[in-house]
This record gives sequence, structure tokens and C-alpha cells, in this order.
Amino acid sequence: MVAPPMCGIESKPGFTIPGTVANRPWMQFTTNLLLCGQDAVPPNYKPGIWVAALDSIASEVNVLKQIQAHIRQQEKAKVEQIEKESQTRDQQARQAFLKKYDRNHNGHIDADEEDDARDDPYYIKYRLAEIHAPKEARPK
Amino acid sequence: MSENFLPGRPPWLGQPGTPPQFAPHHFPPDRAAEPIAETPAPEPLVSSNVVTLKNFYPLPIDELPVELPVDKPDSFKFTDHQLVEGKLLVDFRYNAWVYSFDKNGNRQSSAAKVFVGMAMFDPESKLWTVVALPESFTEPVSFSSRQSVLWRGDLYSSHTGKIRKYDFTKKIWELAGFSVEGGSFYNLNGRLFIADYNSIQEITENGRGTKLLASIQRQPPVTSLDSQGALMHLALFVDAQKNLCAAVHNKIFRWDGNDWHEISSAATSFTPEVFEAGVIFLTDGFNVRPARISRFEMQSNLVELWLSQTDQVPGRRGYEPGRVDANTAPKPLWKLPSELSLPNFSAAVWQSDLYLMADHSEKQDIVAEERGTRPDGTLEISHVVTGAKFISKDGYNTSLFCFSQDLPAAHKVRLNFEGGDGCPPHVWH
Repeated sequence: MVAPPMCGIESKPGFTIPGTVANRPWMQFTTNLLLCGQDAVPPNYKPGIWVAALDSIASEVNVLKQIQAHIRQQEKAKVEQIEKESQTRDQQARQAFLKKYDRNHNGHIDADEEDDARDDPYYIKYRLAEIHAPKEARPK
Repeated sequence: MSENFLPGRPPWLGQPGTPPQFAPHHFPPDRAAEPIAETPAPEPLVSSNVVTLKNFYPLPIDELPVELPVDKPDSFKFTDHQLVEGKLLVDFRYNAWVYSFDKNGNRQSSAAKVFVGMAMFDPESKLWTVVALPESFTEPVSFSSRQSVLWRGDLYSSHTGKIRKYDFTKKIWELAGFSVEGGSFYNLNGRLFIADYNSIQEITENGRGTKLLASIQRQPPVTSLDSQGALMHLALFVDAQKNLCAAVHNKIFRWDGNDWHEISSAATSFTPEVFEAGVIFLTDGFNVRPARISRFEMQSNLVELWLSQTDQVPGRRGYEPGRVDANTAPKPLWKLPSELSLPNFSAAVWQSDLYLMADHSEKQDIVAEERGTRPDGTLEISHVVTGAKFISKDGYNTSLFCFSQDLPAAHKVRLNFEGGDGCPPHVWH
């Protein structure tokens, strides 16, 4: 048994046992042509093959590829922008948090400063950031 | 003393079947984070233009040795196709009536016979060359694939069991110089191989000798393929380094000059399709579940899972090679768009992209009125379906889906086949 048809059934979910179709369309690519044929044709058609220049198809595919690549690039830029804005907001919140509780201005909340800072909504985020920070950046 | 085993499959039987091995995909960085299996397939991007195909090249059926019956032109069928030595080579068969006459010219008998031929289409000149076998066959006739080949410009056929070569000058068939029984031909980089369920042979010494590369009848076995059973769904091809490879037994083997070595595995329900950019393996979702399209990549020797139909038809109980946990199951490179149904698809590969063609036409029966007379002399009119027309929907009759390696969504190019005599590609049940 050779491979089943090249041509599937669009918009027609369901199952056909492979090999039971009376007609098997197929396609072959050469360097510059797409050749299409099928095993059987209704009696009112002639047997033969279709030949298409690949340029015409490739140009459509390339346009779609460029569109998709552009869409992906835009999505990526959007995600990056959101991340950047989030980072800025976080940075501003951290600065405000430190300004309020870091009395000795050493850039960290020390043990004697923690009692006041603990009730601040930003405190947990600040602590988590410290935990995940590289070792050398953590307070001594 | 008997050994106790845990309940289940006895360990000496191993695991049923060979689990498919798929290479993990190396997605581009911006695709890596995408949880492919859990999200619906992205909608295909659709071309704004409809590409019109007008070049249809009908086979010159007037060159057939026995006329195609006028009353049954649909008895004609292409049985195989391949690109070889720069030509498209197709095999065909058709049924026709053969009459015998007595010495007075009166018809004595008639018999339905099958005629077989080959046609070569030159993509450069756009010309056909038609060659038919001189003898006819009686139904039932069952032909396998690749029973003809072009090798060094000569046409060979194994349809009759004997291998014959066509002399284009004298226009006759003659027995080929090598004594091999019929089988499937593979012209791979100018080397000719003949294979069937039992053996793989290479034609050597400019067509005068043969070399046996595998034989399941050989005792003791010489190569690893000699002892693994009938060579079902066999496909021979060469990899990027021009090494001979065989896809068989749901595995891929490489020939090192003396023996076959397994280099990869891929489940298949059909003879794999060989393209320049890879070998395509298809599972039908019926005998082997799920329905999948995988590609053996010639450079890396790895099998990639390209598409998988996860929503199976309820009640199907096909063999599932190597059932694995859904979380660890290989992820396909692309997701199948919801408008497509995989089992009856085949695939073509061009420049590492996967192409699928889908029917987008509506079938309309052509009905003729047939008039006859009943035994009581009254007129009887009946309606008979004499053909079918395939009408474009939405201005196009075929969709060509392109799946590109570096992009997650498929691209859909709308094609419209417009040729007076040609039938647009369609599935015909």
C-alpha cells in the first residue's frame, strides 16, 4: 500500500479508513514547479497532471511568513514593553519603600527598621526580591 | 524452582512493539515557552490572493495501444508516481474489452482485460512519453508501488514478474540483463536497487550483476534485516551523506556496506514517502494511534513529530505504540488546525516545510436521462449519474497548507484549478 491521499478533507472531521478512497490526489515538488495529480478522475474529466510555477505559490507563502513574523515581533515587543513598565513600577515602589523605612540610607531594611516596614504591602515583595537576589547583592 | 514475576506482561517478552523515538524539538527562543499541547492550534494565516492554476497537461490517451473504452473512460487509473532522473514517471492501468474473431470476421468472444503502461512527463518541455506493456492482465490484478523506474535513461518494468527494459529506438520491451524477480525499484543517486517483501538487492556491474543486501529466506541470517520478518512498508533512500538507508519494521536502518544498523525509529501505517528534505512517516489513527505525521531528517538522522491528531474517533481501538504519559509525550512541532482532519492526509516536504493539500470544492453529480421501453411497451425514463463536477467554494477549490519550521501557525494558500479538461484535486470516495 502506498501512502494515503495528498489531499485531505477540509472542514469534514470524521474518519475514512485509509486506502478506501477511490481517488488519491498527490503532489510533487521540483526545484521550480509543483506537480499535482490524482489516481482517478470522474469520466467527464481527462487524466493528466497540473503544473504550477512555484514562484506564484512561494510568493504567497513568503508574504504570509513575513506577516506572521511581523505579528510575532509586535507581540514580543508588546510583552517586552509590559515587562519594562512593570520593572519601572517595581523600581519606583522599591524606592518609595526604602525612602520610608530605610532610616540609615544603606539601601537595605536592617533588623531595627523591620518592625515598621513589616506592615507595608510592599514588604513581602521586598523580602522575596532579597531572597532571589545574587548572594553578593544581599545585605551583609 | 519457578521464578516469580510481578503480574503483567512477562519480562522475557519485552514491551509490545517498538515505542516511537522522537527527537526533542529545538524550538527557536521565542517559541520555546509556548505550551504547545495545551493551547488550541493558532488559526492559519490565509493568503489574500487566490492563486489560479491553469496549466493542465492531459495524458495523450490516443497513444495507448488499446483504445480506452468510450463507455467506461473512468476505468483509467494512475497507480503510482515518482520523480526520477528529472522526469515525473507515472504508472497507469485501464480496463478494455478484447475481442476475438473467427476466420470470417465474426466476433467469437470478448473478455475484459487490464492494460498497463507508464508515462513520463518532462517538466522542462512539458511533453509526455507514453509506453505500454504489450500484454494484458486478467482481473484481479494487484500491483505494488515503484514497479517501473528510469535508470540511466532507460525505462524498466517489473509488472509481469520479470524485469524488462524498454528500447526507445526499436519501441520494444526486452528482458533486462540481470536475473532478478519482480519487485519495487529504487533509483538512488544513480544506483539501482530492487526490493520486495523478501529481499533487497543492488544491481551492480552496469546492470549485469546483483548484490544481495538483505534476504529473509537466508539461513543462517547474514544481516540484521534477514531475521526480522517480511519487509513490509519498506522504503529505501539515501541520507545526506549518500548512505543507503531502509525504513522498515517501524525503524530506520543504515547500510554500512556489510550490515544494516538501526539509527532511528518511527511508527508508520504506510510505505514512507521519500522527499529530498526528509522521509515522511504517517500513522493512520486507525491501526496505529494516534494519527501522526513525522519526518526523518536526513542531516541529523533524527525523527521529528510534526503533527498529531489528539482527538481520536471514539471506539477506535488501534494499536498504540509505546503508550506514554501525556505529560512526557512528545510534543508535535505544529498543531493541526481545527479545520483539518489528519487520518487521510498525506504530506509533501519542500525546503524543510510541510505541505498539505485540502479539498475545498463541492461535488455535483452529472445526471443523464436514459430512456427505455418496458416489457409492456410503455416508455421508461431513468436518471443515471454519468459523472461529477467539482465546483469551487468561496472562489477556490483547494487549500494548500504550509507549515514552516520557525513559525507556529500554518499558512493557507488558496488555489483554484481552472483547466477545461482537468479535474481539480479532490478526495473521491
